[in-house]
Amino acid sequence: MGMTGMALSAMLFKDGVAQAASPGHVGPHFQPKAKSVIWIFLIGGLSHLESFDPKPELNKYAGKSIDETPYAKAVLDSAKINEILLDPGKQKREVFKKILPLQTGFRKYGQSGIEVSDWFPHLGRCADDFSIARGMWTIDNNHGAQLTYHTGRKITEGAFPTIGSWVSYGLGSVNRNLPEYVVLGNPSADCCGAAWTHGASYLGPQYAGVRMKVDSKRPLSFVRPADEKFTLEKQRENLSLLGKLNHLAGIEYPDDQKLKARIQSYELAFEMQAAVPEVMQFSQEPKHITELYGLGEKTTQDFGEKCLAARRLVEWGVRFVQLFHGYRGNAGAWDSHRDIKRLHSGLAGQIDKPVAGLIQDLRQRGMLDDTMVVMGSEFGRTPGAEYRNDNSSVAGTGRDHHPHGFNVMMAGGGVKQGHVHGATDELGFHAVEKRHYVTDIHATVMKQMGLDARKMEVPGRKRLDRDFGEVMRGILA
Amino acid sequence: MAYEEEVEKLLKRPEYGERWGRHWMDVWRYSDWAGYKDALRDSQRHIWHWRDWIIESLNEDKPYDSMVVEMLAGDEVAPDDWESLRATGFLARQFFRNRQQWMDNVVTHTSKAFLGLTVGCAKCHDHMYDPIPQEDYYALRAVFEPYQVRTDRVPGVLDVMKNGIPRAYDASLTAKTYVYDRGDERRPLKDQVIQPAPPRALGGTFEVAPIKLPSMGYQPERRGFVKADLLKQAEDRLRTARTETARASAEASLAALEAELRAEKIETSQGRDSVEWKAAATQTLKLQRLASVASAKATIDASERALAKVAGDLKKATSSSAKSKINRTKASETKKLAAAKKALASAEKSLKAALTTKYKTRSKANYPSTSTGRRSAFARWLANRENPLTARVAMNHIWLRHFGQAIVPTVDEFGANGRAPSMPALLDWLAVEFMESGWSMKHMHRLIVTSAAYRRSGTTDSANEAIDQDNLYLWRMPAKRMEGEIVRDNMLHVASMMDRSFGGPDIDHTKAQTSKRRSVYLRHAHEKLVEFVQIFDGPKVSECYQREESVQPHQALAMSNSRLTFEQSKALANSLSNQVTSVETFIIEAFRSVLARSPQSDEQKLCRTFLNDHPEDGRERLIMILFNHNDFVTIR
Repeated sequence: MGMTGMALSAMLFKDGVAQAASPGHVGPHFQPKAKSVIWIFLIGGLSHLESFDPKPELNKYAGKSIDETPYAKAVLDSAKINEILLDPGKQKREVFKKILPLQTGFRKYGQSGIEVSDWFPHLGRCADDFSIARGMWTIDNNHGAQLTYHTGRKITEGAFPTIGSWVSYGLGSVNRNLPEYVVLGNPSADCCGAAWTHGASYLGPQYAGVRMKVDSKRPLSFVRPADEKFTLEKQRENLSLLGKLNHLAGIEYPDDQKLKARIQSYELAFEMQAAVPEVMQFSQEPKHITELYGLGEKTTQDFGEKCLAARRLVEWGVRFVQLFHGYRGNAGAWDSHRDIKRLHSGLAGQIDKPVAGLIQDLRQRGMLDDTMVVMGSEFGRTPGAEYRNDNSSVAGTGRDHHPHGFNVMMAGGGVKQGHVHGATDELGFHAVEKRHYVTDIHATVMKQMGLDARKMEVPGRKRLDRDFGEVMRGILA
Repeated sequence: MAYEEEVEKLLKRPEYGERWGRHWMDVWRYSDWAGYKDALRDSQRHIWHWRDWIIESLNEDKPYDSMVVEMLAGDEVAPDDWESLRATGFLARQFFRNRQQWMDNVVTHTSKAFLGLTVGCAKCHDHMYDPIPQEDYYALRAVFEPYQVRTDRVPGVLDVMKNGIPRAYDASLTAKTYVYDRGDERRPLKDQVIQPAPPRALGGTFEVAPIKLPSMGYQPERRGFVKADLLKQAEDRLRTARTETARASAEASLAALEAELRAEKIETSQGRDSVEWKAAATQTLKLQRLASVASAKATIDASERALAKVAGDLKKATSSSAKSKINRTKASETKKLAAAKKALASAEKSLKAALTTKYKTRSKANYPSTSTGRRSAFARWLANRENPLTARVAMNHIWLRHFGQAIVPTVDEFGANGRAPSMPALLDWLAVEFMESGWSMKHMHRLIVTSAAYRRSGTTDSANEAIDQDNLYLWRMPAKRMEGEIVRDNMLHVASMMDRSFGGPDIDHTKAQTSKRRSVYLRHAHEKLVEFVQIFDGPKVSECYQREESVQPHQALAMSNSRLTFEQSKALANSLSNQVTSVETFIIEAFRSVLARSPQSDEQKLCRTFLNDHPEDGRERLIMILFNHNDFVTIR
């Protein structure tokens, strides 16, 4: 597919009349507001306090114990601390009470006046574009929560379908030449879900995320037949016979999901040979656009490329693009148990401009109306400074895992602009207003994509109440 | 009984070791050396000796407990068994530039691989989920604290950069382990030296006793073949010397070497106090001094010749670049000449000095003559019937690789953060049977693959599916996709192109599309991975206790577009065409070769039409299509 093809698909997409190239299993339940999702995941745990939920009280009581604040009783209620955790007996984590002041300043942005930390100045300038949900909570206080964020299940429960796979299962694909669910960046490490964080579990491997690399020189391995004389026509003929033979072989194994996925993967691969090199080629992007994403700057180059690739994939009709940031083996780069100032500010510098650039670029193209951008982490970080068997100089310079209250940023696709939804308490400890479990993000995304989360079920597979989530109606326009 | 006989035959084949070797290489974290040029970042050069040891050991059905002990402490339990020393490649592979990271890797991965425990969490603080206090982590680290890695020579190769056995040894008998405050090596808590001990929660203790090593263990260059190789090197020098002075120098060096080896021999048999040794040592020193003189003279001679040639070349040279090149040679030779003249003066001076027994010993490493015994004590505690985890963890790994699903799904995490076994009694039984059999893996393979569970068909059954949708209890045989290595190997095998040679140095990973060797022999290291294998969820280098099994379009591209596929398809089509002429027989033989079954009539019909439509290249394309068939990569 050449430029015309791309233009065509973009047009179909914009018109909102595109027929699914492969139909979904449940099809839209209602008129969709969004056609695509760009799902940005920060591995390891972004501090909600030093991003989108600043708490002046932390500066006021800096160095004091939570016990010395007027909020002690409400915050330190152990029943409240334990109630959100699944299997709290197995999740022992002490509460660090000595308050760590905010490690950066913050200011109000735009007409909405949303407060954003000084580590995210570019995103701050997008404040009037996004909603920030400040009342998130999750069930695991360790990094298995990365998987929970994507499936709603604790890692010890095993693999379950991810939000991306539900969307792709539910709606099918609007394009024939790219996967409907693409993964960019290095996903969570083995400890924390690994491939399960973009897997499809019982939905079958054809609904799992397809990992792609952002490399204009070599965007796809084995992209052409080794025998140069082997024409496209011959490939197509081969594919045709292969498809028939595979279908015949599958008769005996009607429930073999891997076989179905393999048949589909061959059809897709054939189309990807032409599409991927084109979609991953940024040379046609004007300089002011690439600069918007921070391309050409050392710190932002890598994530900027991913964000730009995400926009291009969405233009081509990819439904769900999942971007991982902060892979570092084990827990992930955002896991700043100490030295949070240095670590978090460095990481924020890598993503701030690219994500802001993405939002702006989508807006100026008129794509933000039907593209949803979601950015979050498995949990937030503790208001207290972390001291663990530690009396040294770096003691108390970081924050521990915090599942009790954290935030997620959402923009586009019918999400309110410049809106704050929900709140944590004065110390940023508990989510207290408009509290949402992580699957509420899933339900909201699905709602905007035209799917009713409650109806997302597969015969014989029991879904728990917490799997479905509730739509976060307050953030929808 | 044909099936059982077939199983026996397969277990006896050398490919058994290559197939299961790769499985265990996943668990034991095999990596070829990583780094660029002379730098070494990770693992060790020539670590393939360990890979060969794994494969050979599996083929001879070496008991699993012995394998564990040899890998962790081969240098202590069999210090003069050069074959077994290769086993300590497990420890050599853990090498990392940063010693702290190295120690962390060895503790983390030893406990994950053999005990299914994530002890690594306890580096910074007490384990949050399992009863592993921080001190237990450091007690394990103390087991490994004294060890380092060295490369011992192999026969016929004096340069250990070219070949050699990377192996573990205790370099320091006094290395101390402290708990690091919050895991930070800058803050050791020095008030208490941590002693090696097993994790308390697992029970048992071990006694550590130092082990006296045989002299060959700590002076490996005293081995006969090293001496023979040195003599051969000196003799070769003599034989190839082209000038009078070079010949004289080579002769003198050989004489000095022979004298030195004689002195060493006498030292071993009669000791340094003997008159004979004193005489031999004095004689060696004398010959070494003469050799120094001869060597300096030879260098002077060579440099003077070179300079004479330079003078002539300069006259002939026309271009300025040629002249400057010659001038550079001139400068270096002049420098060399001056140094050699100085060396000669000093050598001639020492020739006049009084003779002693203090001859210059050939550079031979002298390692500690005692090993701490910590690792062998630990290894014996580990590979022991009393250990509640070792046999279970191993059997769980074996089960996983037969059925595609493990009994404890978290194969490297048997602790509280892991998941419960689907069939605990089965795992217990397997573990006991494994130990009762003398830790024989072949015995367990035999039991498993002749079991009813293993021989069940893969077709569905609605009654069973209603009860156990995920087939946790194995009412049918799960379909598995071959690992990437096996996909590649099978293509070569089916096309009769496989080079079956066994073992040896790793083959450059970039040659994967053209090499005909088994994938297990292709280089596998950080930034040196076989792309084709990786696309099929190949092992990660840092760790790979369990592989993923994805279905991705990238796999379709690798299968349909790779040079490997094109070449094997052509080769097989040609060889089949040589045997059969009719289209019908070709189709049948193609199916049998590639998919190990005959075509159904529908399939036959489709293929016949295809071959008729494409008379020129249809046959090789049909083979290609069958290589891409789901049945080719699927094991049912």
